[in-house]
Amino acid sequence: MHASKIDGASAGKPRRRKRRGSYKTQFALYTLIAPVLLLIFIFNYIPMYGILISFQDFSPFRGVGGSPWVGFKHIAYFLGDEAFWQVMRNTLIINFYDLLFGFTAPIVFALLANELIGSRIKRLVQTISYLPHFLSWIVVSGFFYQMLSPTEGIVNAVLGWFQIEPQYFMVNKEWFRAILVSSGIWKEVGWSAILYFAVIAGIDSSLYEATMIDGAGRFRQMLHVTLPGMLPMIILLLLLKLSTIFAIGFERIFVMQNPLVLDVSDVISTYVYRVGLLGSQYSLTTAIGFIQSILGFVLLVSANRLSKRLVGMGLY
Amino acid sequence: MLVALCVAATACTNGVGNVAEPSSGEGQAATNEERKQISMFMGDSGLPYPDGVDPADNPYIRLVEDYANVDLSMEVPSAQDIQTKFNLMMSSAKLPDVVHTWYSEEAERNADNGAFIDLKSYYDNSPVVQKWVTPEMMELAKSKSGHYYRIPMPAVAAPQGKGVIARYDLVMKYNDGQWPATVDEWLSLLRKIKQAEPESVLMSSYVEGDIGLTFTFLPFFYWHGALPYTNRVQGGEVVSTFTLPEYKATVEIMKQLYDEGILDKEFATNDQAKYGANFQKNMLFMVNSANQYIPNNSPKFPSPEAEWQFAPALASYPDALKDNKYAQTKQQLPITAHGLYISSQSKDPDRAWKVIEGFASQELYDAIFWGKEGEDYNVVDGNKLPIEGQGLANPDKYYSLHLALLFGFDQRKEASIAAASQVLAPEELQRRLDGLAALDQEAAANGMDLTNFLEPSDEALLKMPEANKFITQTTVEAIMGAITMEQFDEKVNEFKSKYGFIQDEMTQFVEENKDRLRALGVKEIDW
Repeated sequence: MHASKIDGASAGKPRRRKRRGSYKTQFALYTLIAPVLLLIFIFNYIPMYGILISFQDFSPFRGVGGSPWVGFKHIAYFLGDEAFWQVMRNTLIINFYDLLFGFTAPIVFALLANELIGSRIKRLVQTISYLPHFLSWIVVSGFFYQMLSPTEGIVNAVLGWFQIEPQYFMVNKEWFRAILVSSGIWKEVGWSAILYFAVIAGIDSSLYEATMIDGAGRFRQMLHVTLPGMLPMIILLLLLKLSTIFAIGFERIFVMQNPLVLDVSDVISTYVYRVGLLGSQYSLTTAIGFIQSILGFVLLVSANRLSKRLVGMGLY
Repeated sequence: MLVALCVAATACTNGVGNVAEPSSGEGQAATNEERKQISMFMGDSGLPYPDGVDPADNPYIRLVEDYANVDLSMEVPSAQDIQTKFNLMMSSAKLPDVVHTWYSEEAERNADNGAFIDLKSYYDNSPVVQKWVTPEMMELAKSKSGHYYRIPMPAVAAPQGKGVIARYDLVMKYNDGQWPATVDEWLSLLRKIKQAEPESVLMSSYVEGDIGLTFTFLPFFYWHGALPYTNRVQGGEVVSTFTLPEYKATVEIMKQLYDEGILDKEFATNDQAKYGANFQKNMLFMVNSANQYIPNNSPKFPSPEAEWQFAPALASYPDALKDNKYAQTKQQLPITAHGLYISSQSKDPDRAWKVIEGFASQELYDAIFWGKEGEDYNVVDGNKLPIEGQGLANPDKYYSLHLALLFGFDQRKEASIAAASQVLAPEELQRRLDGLAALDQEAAANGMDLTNFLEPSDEALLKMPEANKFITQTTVEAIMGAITMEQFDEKVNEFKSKYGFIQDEMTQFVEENKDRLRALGVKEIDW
């Protein structure tokens, strides 16, 4: 574009040249993004035809073309199944707690860690906080079961010093969700805070200097500079989190739950595992996934609109 | 399934030798034809291959390959992985030529949709397979749609039934050298051992999917004729044992044992590893199948080294039990769920059938169960006597048992008892054989178990795991005091209204198939 502006020989047709140059540049950009779009199309859009099997009694050996159509039979089945509504309720409650505590914990952690004096200590705290992320859920589950064991656990040993009877936390319905959410926070808080650390590092230091000149202490700097600087990232992650509120990770729940807490711990993913993978009900579980996706999509669009209206920021 | 046997053999045999090269013999087939490549999917049935042994190239599978004149490419997932891998294979709709699985219902459902071919015509022309698998067995393996997709594994050599097997050494030590004769005497024995050895974990359980009440948790339920997750026929109706007064009476006993610290405080959350660790701490008894206790080469049952024997029937059963027959065992089917199938995608089903015949060959039978003369056994006075630590007693050869797909794993009985007679004290061996014989007689008297023949609807199949989950949760809650026994009663009523249709379907099935079931030897339909 710059070249076209200074080309005196082409002064008579500047507009056309500019447009042609613009096409050239855009073509190069489109070429760059084409493989990405192609991959998205292949792996995200083409498989969508699989939604069809939620309206069939699908058999892999008959294929989509040969399996009988059954209309909304599977959707009607799970919407009328009391067990499904229980797992839906559990999914929403656990996700709500995750949102309330699990989502805010990395923000608070990033803010606090940022206030640490001395870059060595800061790096050490950050590194230590990442470590649990690399443990598998089965290890974390074993760790929590061991720690909270009524016979051998350290927590009950400490309670014992105060003459408190041993508590079997892992089978207590009142405690289970709190333990589940806490374990998620412990495992992921450091890792989730990485993005916030990156955002904080990118905040213009002159803003801090200006607030200092205005007499702001560290708390006010955090409140009026750091937090607003983090806001776009917080909104982005919040919207993405909201879109998955009808889904929840299978592994964490599966390894932590036990027969006594099934009422409060059974979620859509464990229900789908039981019915879909173990019972080979492909159509039924696809129907569940389909409805889950629609609800997630609607929620994402609504939350995005609301966010734009309230704080002027959104995903798109 | 065979994991316990595998562990037993691995832990208790000290002979280490090379894998036997079984002798070649007659019965070679298809040798004049071109050697072909055939693919096969097979589970290891809980008997993993030793390090360095190739599932597609070892002395045993070579016998099958030579019989069928094929080169086999094998996929052999472990017993832990097979359900997932089998289901994934089925969902991919891409099958190898020959498939072995014990998920027969899933295989049958897919077969009806075109996954496998009907093998009846092959079977009818195959004396090699007919030698092991009788026409009656084929009828039992027939699909609901009337097809013969599966060549089933026989179970005719198996000791029948199940019962309470207990630590004979502990029982004799703490109960004045005799078996307890009533539930109260068993309870006294538990308390006596706990008092003498406070670190003991005498009863526990572990969670396995929706099933959370297992093995050492079960003896008192067994003596009350109300094992969890089962049904009984009572007055012509099929009822869930969970809804019976006997079940509630047992839950009350278990609650008492839990409060006293005899039942492991963490029984509801143990995984297998934790359960295994507790098992070393004097676990007293469990309910298990007789076929798991064919006496073998090991001088003592391992981990912990102890004498395990089937407890005799009680002299007097609990008052809550409606009829003693409900606390007795029944016969199993003469076939297991294991089976061999040929894919409809196979380009050479004739040669795939030859592979199945290879699994029925006498050479393979001899190689698996006896091995090689002079190396695995000697012939003394015309009888084969296994050499200590060799044959199936050799951990490096024990894996071969999982290839007994058409003989049945229980065909090892003869060779195993011959080996046991050399290493076990005669009186201990006799006690084991007597225990198995008693269960066998009891099973024969009570006929076939109805469960073997039920055909649940799709709706029932979908709800069964949920019903099991409900049983587990309610039972555990009542035992741990999270709900009162009045609340337990309310839960039973809830169970009846939510899942009672499963038993109603079963009752209807019994009504509609009474004559057929009677002919098959199911006596309980008239209970």
